[in-house]
This record gives sequence, structure tokens and C-alpha cells, in this order.
Amino acid sequence: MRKKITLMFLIFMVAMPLAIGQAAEYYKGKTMKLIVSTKPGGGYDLYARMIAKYMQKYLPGSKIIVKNRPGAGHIIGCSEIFHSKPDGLTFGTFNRALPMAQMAELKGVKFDLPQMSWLGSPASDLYILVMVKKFKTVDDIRNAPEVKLASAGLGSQANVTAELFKTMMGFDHIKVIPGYGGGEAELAMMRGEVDGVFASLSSLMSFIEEGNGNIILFIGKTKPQGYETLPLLSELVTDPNYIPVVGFLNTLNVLARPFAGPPGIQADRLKILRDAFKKACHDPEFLSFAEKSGVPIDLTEGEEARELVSSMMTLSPELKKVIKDAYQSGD
Amino acid sequence: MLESMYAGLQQVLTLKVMGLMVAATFIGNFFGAVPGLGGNIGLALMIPFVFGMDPFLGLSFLLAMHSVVHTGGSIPGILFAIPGTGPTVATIIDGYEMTKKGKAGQAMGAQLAASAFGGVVGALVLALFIPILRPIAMTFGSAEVFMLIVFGMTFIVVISRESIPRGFSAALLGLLLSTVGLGAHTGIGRYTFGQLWLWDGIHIVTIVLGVFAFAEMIALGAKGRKAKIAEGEVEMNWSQLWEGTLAVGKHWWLAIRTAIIGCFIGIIPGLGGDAATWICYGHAVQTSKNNETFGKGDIRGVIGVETANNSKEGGSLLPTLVFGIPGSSGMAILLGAFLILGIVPGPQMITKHLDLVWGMVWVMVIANIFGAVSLYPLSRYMGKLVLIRGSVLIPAIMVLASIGAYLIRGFWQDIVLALIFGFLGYGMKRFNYPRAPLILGFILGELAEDYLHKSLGVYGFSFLKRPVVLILLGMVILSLSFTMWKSYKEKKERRRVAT
Repeated sequence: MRKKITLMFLIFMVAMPLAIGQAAEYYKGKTMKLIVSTKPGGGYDLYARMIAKYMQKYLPGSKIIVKNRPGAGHIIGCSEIFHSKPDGLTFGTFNRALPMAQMAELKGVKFDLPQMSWLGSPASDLYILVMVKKFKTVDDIRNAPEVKLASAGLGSQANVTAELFKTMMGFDHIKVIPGYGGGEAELAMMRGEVDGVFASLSSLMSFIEEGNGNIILFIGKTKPQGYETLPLLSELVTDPNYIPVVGFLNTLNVLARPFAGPPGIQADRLKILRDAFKKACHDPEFLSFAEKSGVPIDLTEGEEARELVSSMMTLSPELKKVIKDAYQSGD
Repeated sequence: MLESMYAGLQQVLTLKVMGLMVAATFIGNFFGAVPGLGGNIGLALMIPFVFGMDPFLGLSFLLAMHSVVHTGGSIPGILFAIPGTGPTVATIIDGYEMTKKGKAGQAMGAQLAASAFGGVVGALVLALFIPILRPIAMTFGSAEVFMLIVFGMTFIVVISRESIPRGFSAALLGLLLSTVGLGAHTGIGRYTFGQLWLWDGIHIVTIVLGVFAFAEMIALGAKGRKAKIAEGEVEMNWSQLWEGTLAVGKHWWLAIRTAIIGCFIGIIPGLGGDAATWICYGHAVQTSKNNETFGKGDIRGVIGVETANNSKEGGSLLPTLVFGIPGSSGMAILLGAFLILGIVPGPQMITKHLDLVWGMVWVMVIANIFGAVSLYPLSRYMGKLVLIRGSVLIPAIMVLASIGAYLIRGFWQDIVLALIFGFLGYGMKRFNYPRAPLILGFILGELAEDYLHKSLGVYGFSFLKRPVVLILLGMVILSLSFTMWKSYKEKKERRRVAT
């Protein structure tokens, strides 16, 4: 019996690299497809093109073609990735806020994120609340008669985050006004038209550095260096019922640029893809690009990403409803 | 100021930069001219290519490419009513009518010269507007922009003078079409019929491909196998192109006005290029003498649009550079590229890197001139294409338009939609409904809804009491009364001539 086990173990040890070797062979001469769920241009597209360029380098003999599949707030693209053939030749990237859409059971969502073959995320980001100069702390928000927050559009990450913030803090006097796309929110703040906005730290860095506004709080697991005095959202939300929702928001920004393939990619091929993805993210040229574009590379590997997404999607029905309500509230 | 102007020029006048700019203008023209591609895709595809380049070199390449997209974009519009890019749509109104009258050469000459002129003015205005950027950007908030859009809507009356009821119904249809999609303020799907591809609404290029390109080809086909786009004996040589070019000089005052208006609208983030060109078209119709020929092949219609088309790029670069806040999606991509190249936009651009700003101005000036000049020889040959008879030309144009409709968003459904709009456009043409108000209503409808929601959300109805809003409201009333008075006078004049 023991011999048998040893033998099986030996066969396994020999066969595993062989299988992987075969899988590596599989990628030679193959054309792969990287689906980007948005138009060319912008962060998601740029990351995808860089990942394609450097993953190719670590999958010798392969070619990765970037295909843009925009529409319906990344839902069309993600559905296409989810339903593509799990032969290890197709994967893609989509908006980090899609877990919200799935949670809100949005019509048209025909995917289940935890089931996907996750490659990981090359970057993590922090979400922040930035307010105009007269607001310095959360108490200033609490004590103001009315607070106007700008957001991109209904169902956008900024909008849902703002609505959740309002609910969790009990700030009924916050008014969320959608329709401020791109840099419009920043200009509206400079004009005094709105008081603040939820956004990712990377997108508002220069705006803050030039002294146009104050960071009020961070949404994430840790504070960046130099901002230790500012609160995290998890330190502000006192209602214990809402703690899982805060955890949900924190995780959303850890996977700032999610990459995944359809469910059911063979284990050996997935391993090769994950390795190539990891190596691409550590490539010195890739790193220097990332540094210049102002987003520090902070790799979350495939397995960890899968676990994060799975844990994220296990909110209780009551809390799911909280997110659903935040998704749908408009003026 | 003069010093940095000169330093900027020195940076540009090197063999390397100039050579790269030549390549960039060719690529930019190409991305503009192929319907459905557009400048943003061009920029996005080229960013990995400039990564690692010397910053100024990479910057010149991208900026030169971006500057000339609409120069190339207007040519298929003039020849075949196929819009290369969104903002070139308004050129079709008079440009294609000129082609039908056998004046494709003049239209293209005017288009190229006006594009170059507008681009140069836009670049220079960019430099001159730097000191007043802050007041402009701070004055035009949601409420003010909403009123500006309402002002633009008064041009529906201007461009449908011939029959107000017909123009209005076309405009209303445009407004209705603009509501299709998931409302950003309500989250409710309107006319989406459970189809995901309709969530983002209908794309302007899809509508125009249908209402103009397909409709014109149906009309041409209905005329018989041997019919051509251009009627009668048509010559196509340098003298026509030259004649068109000179027309810009003849209407220099109009060209300067529309270039400055275009640049100004470019500065205001959110309004976008489509609105800029239509407001300039409306302005050209409203302020021109003997304006009854607009919409029937008036060269002033081409000039007014084309100058704005290129000058607005100068305007929209301004907030991007000075505030680091992009005014359009194209500028957002460009901003990303700047950062990768190590150029950090912000107020220090003006205080510390003024020579770099002037370098950009010169890049835009030279690229605009070169982009237009390089298209002259090509457009001479392209112009001959309208002499091909219908039985050969129609299938080719239909295929090209279908490809365009698909490329714009990657949905095959858009091809079907464009075809449906084709029959709509043909019907409108048959029964004398003007098509321009439909497009104007469509473009401004979506913007108006968005900014009205924001104005009400921020100020409630008291947004109407803001001083600049009141001034703009006055302009709306003036514009309407001026047009009505003019049309009354013209009618009286016509009656006098008749009797």
C-alpha cells in the first residue's frame, strides 16, 4: 500500500511538470484574445494593452490580441468573457465595480464573478472622499445643513459608494447628484457647485496636491504613508450590522484592475496563465510604465483574487438589499 | 512671453520632431477618414508606441495626430455623406449638397483650408486665453452650460426657416431618439426593449450614417442604374480646390468668428465637439446675408463648421493643461499619455513650463497646416470617385457605411439600426422634412437633459436667477426674435418681388 502511494506520488511529481510543459507547449503558435470591456483609451484599456504586451513575452510563441467590447457599463464585455470557451485562450478585464452590479442583481448581468478563472489584478487603489476646503473632517459634514456630492452616473462606483456612505452614517442631508463624468466633478468643486466627490486616490492626486480640496476619509484596508491621521471608513461606521458592507467596499478597490477568464479553464493552463500574468506584472519595463502613469503596482495574484471575490459575494440578504437600494436610488 | 514663444518653436523645428509629425498627421487623417475609427481609438493604440520616447517627441506625435483627425474626417462626409467622426457630421449638410451639384472640389478645398485656418486660430487662442481661462471655467457651471445648450437649440428655428412645423417635428424626433438608453439620472431603461446594446443609447454616427449615407444611396438607386452623385458634366482639378480655398479668404470674418466660438466651447468641459460644430453652423446661418442657400450647398456652411471643428481642440487642451482636468474623452486619453511621458499638467505648466506650452501651440499650428496641405493632392483623386455611376458606387458605399456602423461600437445591431434610419432619412428627403434639425435635436437633447438635471439638483429652480444664466436667457430671446424678424422681412420682400 505504502509503495503504491509512493509510486503514485512519484508519478504525480513527474507528471505534473510534464503536464505543465505540455500546456506551455499548447500556447506556442496560439493567438489569444484579451477582451477589454470598455472603449479604447482610459485606465482599463491601457492596463490591458500593457498586460497583453508583457504576458506575450512570458508565453513564448503566443500572440495576444486586445479586443474592445464596450457597452452597458462593462456588463457586455464581462458577459462575453464569462461565456467564452474555457480553452485558456480567452480572458479579459472589466470594471472593478461589477461585484456591485452582480450584488444588485442588475438586469443583464449574466455572470457569476467568483466562478471565473481569476488571473489577478496588477494594481490596487484606495477610494477617498474629497471635499472642498471648508470641510476638514467628517464632523464638518455631519454639522453642515446640506452637503452635495457629485457622481458620474447612477450605478457608478462613486454613486453607489456615496449612497452607501449616506445610509451607513445616517447622513440624510447628503444629496448625491449624478452626471459629473471625467473631470467635471473636480471643476464643479472648484466652482463651489458641489461640495465633494468619492473617487479613487490615483485619479484625484494632482487635484489634492494643488490644494483644491481635503481628503476626509479613506476606503481601504490601510492608510497610505503620510495620511495616518485621517480615518478609514471602517473606523467611522459604528453600526456593527454594516461592517460587512465596509469590507465589501474595501475589497472592491484592492482588485482595481481585475483580470479573469471564463469558468472552467484546465488547471495546468490556468497555472501557466497566472504565472505569465505575475511575471508580466513584475517586468521592469512594465513597472516603470506603471510608476510613470502614477499608479503603483500592487499585484494581487490569481488565487487570492478568487478568494477575495468569493468572500465579497457572501453578504447576507439584508445587506445585499442595502447595496441594491444604493444602486437604484436616484433623484 | 516672446522668449518662450521662440524657445517653443526651436523645440519643434528639429528634423526628428518634424519627421515624426509628418507621420502623425498621416495616421491622424487616416483614423479620422475611416468611419467608426475616430481619433480616440487612434490615440489609444499609439500610446504604447510612444512609451519610452523622449517626452517632447512623444507629445508632438500624439498631439499632431489628434489635431488633424477632423481634417481627414470630413472628406468622406463631403463626398458620400459618410461622417468620419462625430464632429464632422455638420459638414455633410452643405458639403454633400455641393458634391451633388458637382462642386466637390470647391467643398474639399474650403474644408481643408478652413480646417487648417481653424486649427491655427485655435492653437493661438489657446496661448492667448491662458490668462482668462480661470474666469471662463469658473463662470460656466451646470446652470450656465444648460442655458448655452438652450441657446444652441434656438438654431433649430434658424435652420428650419423654410418650414417651421416640419423642422420642429424633425427636431422633436431627434430629441426623442436622444432619450434612448439608461438615463444617467434615473437609471431607468428608456426604449431599450431589454436589449443591452441599447443601454448606452444610440451613437450619433449610426444615425447620420442612416439618415444621410444610406438615405442618399437609396435615393441615388431610385434614380436608375446610371445615375451619379454629381449631376451633369463635372470637372475635378486643381482649380476647383483652389477656388474653395480662396472662399475661406473671402469669408474670413465668418471663419474667424466660428474659429473663436469653437475654441470657446472647447474650453467648457462637457459640451463636446458635436455641440461646438452645430452651434457654429447655426451661427453661420443666422448671421449670413442671403442665407436661403444654406442646406442646399452653401460653401459658408462648410467653412463655419470646419473652422470650429479644428479650433475646438485648442480650446479643450487648455483646461487639460492648466488644471490637469480633461474636457473630453480624447483629452482624458491625452492626459494619461502626458503622465506616462513624464509631463505633469497643472498650474505650474504656465509658471514654469511656458516654453513647453508654446511648443504644443507650434505643434498644433504646423500639424494643422501640414495635415490639410498633404490632403490636397489626395482629395483631387478622391473627388473623382463621385463620378462613378450608381450601380457600382452604391454597393461600395453601403459596405463602407455598414462597416462604419459596426466599428463605432462593435454591435452588428447598429448596422440594422443604420439601415432603418436610412429608410427614415429617405422618407424625410422625399417629403421635404429637413434632416439637420433631427441631428441637432439629437445632439443637444441628451446634453440638455443632463445639465438640466444637474442644475435642478444643485440649485433647484433658483438656477434661473443666476446672473450669467439671465444674460444667456436674454441671448436666447434675442436670437429667436432676430430670426423671426428676419424671416418676416424676407417673406415681405418675397411678396413684394412676386407682385
